[in-house]
Amino acid sequence: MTSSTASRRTGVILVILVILVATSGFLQTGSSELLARAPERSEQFVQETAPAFLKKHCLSCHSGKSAKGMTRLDDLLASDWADRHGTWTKVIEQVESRSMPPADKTQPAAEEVDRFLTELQPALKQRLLASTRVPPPTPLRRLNRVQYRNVIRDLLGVDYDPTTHLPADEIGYGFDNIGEHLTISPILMEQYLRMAKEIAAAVIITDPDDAAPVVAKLEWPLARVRGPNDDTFGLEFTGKKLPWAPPGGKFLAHTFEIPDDDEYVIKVQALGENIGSKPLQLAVDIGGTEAFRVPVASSSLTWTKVRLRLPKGKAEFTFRPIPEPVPKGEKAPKRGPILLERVLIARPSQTSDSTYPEPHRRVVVARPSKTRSVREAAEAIFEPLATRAYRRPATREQVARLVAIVEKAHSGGQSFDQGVQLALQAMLCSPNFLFIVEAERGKGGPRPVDEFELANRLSFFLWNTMPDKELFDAARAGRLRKELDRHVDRMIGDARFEEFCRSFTHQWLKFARLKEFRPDPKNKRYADFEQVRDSAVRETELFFATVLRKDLPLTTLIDADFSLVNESLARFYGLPKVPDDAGFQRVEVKGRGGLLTHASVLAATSYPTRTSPVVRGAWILENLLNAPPPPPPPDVPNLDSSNEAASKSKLSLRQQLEKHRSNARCAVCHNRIDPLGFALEGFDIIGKVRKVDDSGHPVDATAVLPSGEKVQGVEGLKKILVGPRKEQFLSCLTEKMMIYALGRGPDPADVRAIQAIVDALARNKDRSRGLIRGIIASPAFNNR
Amino acid sequence: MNILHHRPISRRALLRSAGVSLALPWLEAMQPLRADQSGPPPVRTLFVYGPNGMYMPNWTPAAEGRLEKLPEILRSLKPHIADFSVLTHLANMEAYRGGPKRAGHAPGSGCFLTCSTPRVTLGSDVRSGISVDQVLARELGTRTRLPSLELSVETPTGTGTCDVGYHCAYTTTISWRTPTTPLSRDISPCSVFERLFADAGAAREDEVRQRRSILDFVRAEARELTQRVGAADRLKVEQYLESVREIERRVQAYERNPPVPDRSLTANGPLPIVPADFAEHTRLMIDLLVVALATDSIRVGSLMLGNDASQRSYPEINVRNGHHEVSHYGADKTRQDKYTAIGAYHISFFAYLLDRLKNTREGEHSLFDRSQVMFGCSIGRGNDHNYDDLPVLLAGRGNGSLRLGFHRVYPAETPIANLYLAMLEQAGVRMPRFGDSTGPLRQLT
Repeated sequence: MTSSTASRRTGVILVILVILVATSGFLQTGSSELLARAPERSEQFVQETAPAFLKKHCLSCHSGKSAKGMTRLDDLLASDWADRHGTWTKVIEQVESRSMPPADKTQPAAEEVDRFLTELQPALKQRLLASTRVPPPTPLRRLNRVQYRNVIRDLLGVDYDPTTHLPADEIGYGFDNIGEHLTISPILMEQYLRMAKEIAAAVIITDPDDAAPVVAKLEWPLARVRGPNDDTFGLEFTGKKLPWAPPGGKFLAHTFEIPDDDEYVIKVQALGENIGSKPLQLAVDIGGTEAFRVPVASSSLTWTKVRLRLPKGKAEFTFRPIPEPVPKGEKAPKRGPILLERVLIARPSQTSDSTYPEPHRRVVVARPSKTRSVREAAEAIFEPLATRAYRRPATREQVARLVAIVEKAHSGGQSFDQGVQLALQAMLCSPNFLFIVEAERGKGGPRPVDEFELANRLSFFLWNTMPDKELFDAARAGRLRKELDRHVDRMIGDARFEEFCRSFTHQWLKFARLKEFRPDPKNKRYADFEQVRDSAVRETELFFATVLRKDLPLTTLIDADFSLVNESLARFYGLPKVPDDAGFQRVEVKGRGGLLTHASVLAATSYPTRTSPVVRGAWILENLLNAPPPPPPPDVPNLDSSNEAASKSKLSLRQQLEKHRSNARCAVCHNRIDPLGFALEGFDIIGKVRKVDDSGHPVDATAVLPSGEKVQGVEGLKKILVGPRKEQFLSCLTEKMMIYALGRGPDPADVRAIQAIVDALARNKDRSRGLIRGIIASPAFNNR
Repeated sequence: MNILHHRPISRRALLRSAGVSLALPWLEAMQPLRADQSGPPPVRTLFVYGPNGMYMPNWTPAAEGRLEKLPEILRSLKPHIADFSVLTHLANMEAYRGGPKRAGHAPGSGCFLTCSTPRVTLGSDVRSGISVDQVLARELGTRTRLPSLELSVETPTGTGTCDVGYHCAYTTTISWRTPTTPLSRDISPCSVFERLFADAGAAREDEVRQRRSILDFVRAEARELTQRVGAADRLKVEQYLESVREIERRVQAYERNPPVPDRSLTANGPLPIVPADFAEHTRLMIDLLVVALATDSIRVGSLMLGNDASQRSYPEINVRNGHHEVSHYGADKTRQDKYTAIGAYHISFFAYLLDRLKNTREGEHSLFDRSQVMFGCSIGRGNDHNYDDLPVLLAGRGNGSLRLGFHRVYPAETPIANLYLAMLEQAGVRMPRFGDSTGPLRQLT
């Protein structure tokens, strides 16, 4: 499935509500009011309206096993409506668009259709809540790019950026961690093999000399050595220029302090330019006597290692390029310069286990010895390592397979560490590592996930990475479920929780759009946006994290009276000064607070030259109310792309949009979309408060909703979102977070869980932690 | 103690090792299971530099918009008419800042890819900025065998042709690794070939054996996993196994029959150190660039068709005067014609490069489909060395979003840095700005 199709499939449940909202008018009836009278209305629909309508207009074709279009409706009312959710959606689409019954059949009267659809909404919701449908399990998930990086970091202690090897993950239902989309292909497999090799090579040191403690060093950018016959460049040395040296004159030199009489490994990394086909020789003189030579090739960095005895005290190194032999009568070719990247002096006699880098030591916890065979040492390494890497106790067979790789390499003449490196490489390509594995669902239906599966679900939800030691220990002791609340609180307080805040807010609020957003460079007003682009996104992440960590009501996301800004953002927003070095500070804000006022959100919903009430309105419908408007029909002229029309016609944007809405076909959707966007007209394309709009007219941020309610600017909009539409907003947020937490698309069976969470929230002042707890406690999260 | 011993490399070894380098990803054998779920090959970027500007009346298309009638200099690009755009009014205003008025070439070439004013100096304290190709090399070059290739077809003689008051580095290279490190250019096809392929074969047998043991291991792991997961998940494990098998098949195929790079490159023995013939030299360098891209040995490279202020003559097209000489054409019709002829000749090699990229398959696509290739000069008119309307072409499809085939006329003095910013973006490197850029160049996608 392409990502565009996938992203359109958001909110299975609410697709139906969208259509109904469109028919009945946005914001006309609060859903709780509807639900209060739901049971009797629902009963009326099921007993009278629906059977009559279906019988009269549908069943003559859509009955029995040979029903037309494979759509059988005669058993619809008696089935579990959640299981037949797809059929209901189809029925609504067909009836609402008047596509069914077909034109050559008797058409239902308008009031008949209206009644059918109006009564269907509460009935459907009521039946979904009463359904006994079992939520489907999450499909096997591959680690996405971000998770791969995080897991490598937590497992091995190295930061490895996979983005140059791995393509961006496919997005499904708005998120990048959806099992159904996280598949694998030969190209990906090739990349995993390649990355595993690079990572294993970075972690495991196979040459003991590389673990010798470095006693003296010089590092890039340090020096350019003039090549023979090269009059192009002079000498430079650690930034300080040396006098121009004629051939045979002064060469690059450096004095190292040698701590003791001993044998040392000297490692030189150099690169040459304009070298020709043979490496150039760079002689290294120590104390005036040639000690060794470094072959220097064009543009390829290689280490030259030599072992030498050096006396204690000062050692002067001189780097002297050797001219190539030139046949008689020919002119010497010009060579160089040579770029000396690094010179390291290490002392192997002092090498011990503790001089190996931390990642190496973390893995190689045992080596073969007189009392320990290769197999035993490898087992001592891979039993705990594979357990952490596979994120559940490694089986005997799994450990044995890894140990066999070490043994085979060792018997083939490689060192123990080389064998470990190879086995590590293999382990990182195992499906047990690359996938978040959960065992089969029980025979009789869902089973509770085991403690390790639960640990994984929790850590990938709240941290976007593997479980830590405490989660593992609790799972191993079988205590995790019992101590769940304590662990959840601990996890929310942990720094890794910001991984969740970043990943979730970026995707929920569609910040991907912000990456492409470039305000018109000709407009000076927007010049300071570039400086706060990243800070603005950070503001939203931190704001979201604060609401959850402080357990504030979720409505705070809409109507907060504070935000978190740094020095440049405070200046950008015109807030009181925040000290330059203070980082992000919590500040009280008046007239600016909540997601709808964040520069990140406002910019992500704008065009480079002007604001778009349509984009902003649709954004609110989709992301805050879970009621995405359908895409515009293909034959409609795109008002938003032609700014010229506005200037030519001298109409304000509002007037243009009003004109657009005078067309009934457009009005169906735009009556819902545009007013929400107009309420935000007080903010320009980069989120600054403004008095004059993009077409030069005074800002008019009033709007009239289809229900007739008047909205005064952003404050008015916020009041509606936390007032009559609060439940819809909370259901929307709950559904989005459930998708993220479960790694699968929404299912009709989730309606029950979502309603339960929203109800529980209402009983507890909408405190935000209740949302996370509620999701974790839901059957879908707990069972497989 | 002499640890420097040059290991002679036989031609056979060269071919074999080149075969190994071809066994890296992005080959035809590696078809994805489903086209829409695999990552695209990386975006490759090439910069081709023409010295001494162009005779602009025969360069700039008459009409704006879709390219139809090509001006004389661009005529050899006819077969590619839908695949490149002429970008008019791109400027490198940094070149105007500082420097003796008499110098016309070094200020331009010295900041062509850096968009930073070059310091006026004859000494070793040269300074410009990091060039756009080197930004790419830093970002992408760690993943490839070589970070980048900097090629030229003219020897940097450094005698007489360098510009007034400016060090020769400014006119003999356009690539700057750091603001103070100009990169000398490789002019020897032989040397380039060795750099590309000489050391690849060394660890080959070990590699194959190791890869085998890893593939055996992961296959066993996956088989075991199949037993543990449910039916739907089993399909995904199957997909994983199929990917493993696919890679195994490729390893076996290479062992049986190692592919070699374009044999014509080495069919007549080792490549020449420096060919005397300009056309042969240039084509060889282009072939090497294409092989280097196809084997994923580099993802960025640049080729100079000459040093700036080059005095090369082109007897093969009946231009016996020096290039620089005829570039100062004044009102002389003969000079204008010769200047035009050299420009058209240079562009024909650009056309050859595009041909080669299009004819190099990469899975279902061609290398061209994942490349962006820029041609440009660091001055506009040879007569008065202007930097505010440079001859610039862009070809290729970049990351797939480039929409070319137009003559785009930008507002006067639009920074060429904007083009570089857009090219960086195409290659997946996001920077807030480059040089004097004001934002990525529009109308390319």
